[in-house]
Amino acid sequence: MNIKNINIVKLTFYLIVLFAVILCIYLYKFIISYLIVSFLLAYLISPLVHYFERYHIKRTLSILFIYVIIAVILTFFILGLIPQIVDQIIDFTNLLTEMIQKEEPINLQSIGLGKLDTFFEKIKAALPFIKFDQYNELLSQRIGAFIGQLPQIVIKSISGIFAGLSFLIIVPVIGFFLLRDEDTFRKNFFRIIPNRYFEFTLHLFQKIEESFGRFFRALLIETLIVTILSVVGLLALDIKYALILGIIIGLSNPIKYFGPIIGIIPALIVVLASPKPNIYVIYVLIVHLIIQQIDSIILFPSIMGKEIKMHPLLVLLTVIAGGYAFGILGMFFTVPAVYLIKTIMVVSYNSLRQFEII
Amino acid sequence: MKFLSIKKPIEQEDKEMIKFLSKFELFTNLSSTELHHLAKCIHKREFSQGEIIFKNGYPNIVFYIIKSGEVKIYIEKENGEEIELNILGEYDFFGEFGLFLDTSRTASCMAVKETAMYAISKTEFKSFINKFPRGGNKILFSLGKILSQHIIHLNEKLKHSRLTNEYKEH
Repeated sequence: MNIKNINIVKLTFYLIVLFAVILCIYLYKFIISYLIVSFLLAYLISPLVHYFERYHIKRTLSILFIYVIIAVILTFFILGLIPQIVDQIIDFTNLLTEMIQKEEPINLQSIGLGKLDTFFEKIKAALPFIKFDQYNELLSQRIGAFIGQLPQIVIKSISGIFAGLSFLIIVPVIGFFLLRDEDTFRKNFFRIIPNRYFEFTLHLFQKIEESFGRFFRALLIETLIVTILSVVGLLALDIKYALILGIIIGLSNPIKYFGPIIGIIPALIVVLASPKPNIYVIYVLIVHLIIQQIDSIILFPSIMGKEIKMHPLLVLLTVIAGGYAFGILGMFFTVPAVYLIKTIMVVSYNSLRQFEII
Repeated sequence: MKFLSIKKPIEQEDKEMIKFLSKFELFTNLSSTELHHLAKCIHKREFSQGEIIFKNGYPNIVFYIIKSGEVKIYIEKENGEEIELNILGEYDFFGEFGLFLDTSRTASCMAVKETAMYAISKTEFKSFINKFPRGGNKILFSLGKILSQHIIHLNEKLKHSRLTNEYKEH
């Protein structure tokens, strides 16, 4: 009887705890995105803070110092580059919509490949049973509808990032405390881990940091360098919208196998649509090829170290799924995200096995 | 639900830890700032009697210093029989090989009494040495000294057993 009573008390207590946790999640759900971004910020900055700590510089001081440097870079970026990028995006989308809204939408003549057009005419004449015109119309309608939405998508995502001024204030504040009290947070976290799982958790964290952390930081550096190289290369060729096209190439670069191919397409379209001679397509491709070689021969082995093991088919499917689920931005970010989740699963499984938990 | 039990506030625990560590043979030469930073990456663990700390074959990633209580180092035979290797008490430490080698545990460990220990993970220890090379140098030197003493001791034992064997043969 007594035992039963205790169980009821225990059960009620657990239910109350569960209820409290659910309430907390409900209350804090609006700032979960803030927390995630703050974590990422803290995670990226933490090696720098550790570096300063070597010279017995107080954490508070070094965090503020890093914040000031980031603020200066961001200000330069916002004042100098953002207006240009926005201008280029608006120009770029205008160009595309103009192309669509012409009398004959998506004409090969209009992008300077007239000879191909006569080639297609010949095919049409040879195969009268296939209704090319119908397909063409359908296709251009679809593309037209998509491109018509493009400005909205771009503006939405930009305003999504920059709209909340609160975001820009709250994230650094949370990040500051996460960084300053990093050790206390970690220690408190390990205090509540039962003895059975203490070594396991330490091991897991260590392994995740080894694979995930290094990968994450390396990915950022690699993307940044490829973006800069691409922008410089396109500027050297005097291509219009070099900035935005370079950023697209850089962002798509982390997608294995297909990223470089996807990334270069907008640049090629712009070259074809611009009054530049079509031979520039070849020049752009050569520059792209050189940057890709630099990336895969010099950057990737020295920064990333380990090869990412992911089957090309899985990469392709992930890109498509990401596109369906989260739109264009999803196409860029799902492959690294899936890779990270996969690594964490593998690492957790190995640790669990080593500590005989499963 | 052990984590809901009332524990000492972390500041007080840290003070206790620093006091203990300053007397511990590996850390006697450290300055108070170094000790303070070292304490940040040391976890206090409490084991009840009979609780297993780790088993033979687990990854060797944590180095333990016993604050109070006793632990038993043993190996398990395949038929389940236990062979006791050593009993360690206050101010003893174990798992130090893990700091240098990427091996798994070579024996199992169990708390014989209520035991409180300080645990230092390999990575945290290494990052402390990187961050504070001076302090790290002192620690590694003391550790080297202790390990050398162990080796000398074992050599003596070996010499002794060889000599007695020779004596028996004659």
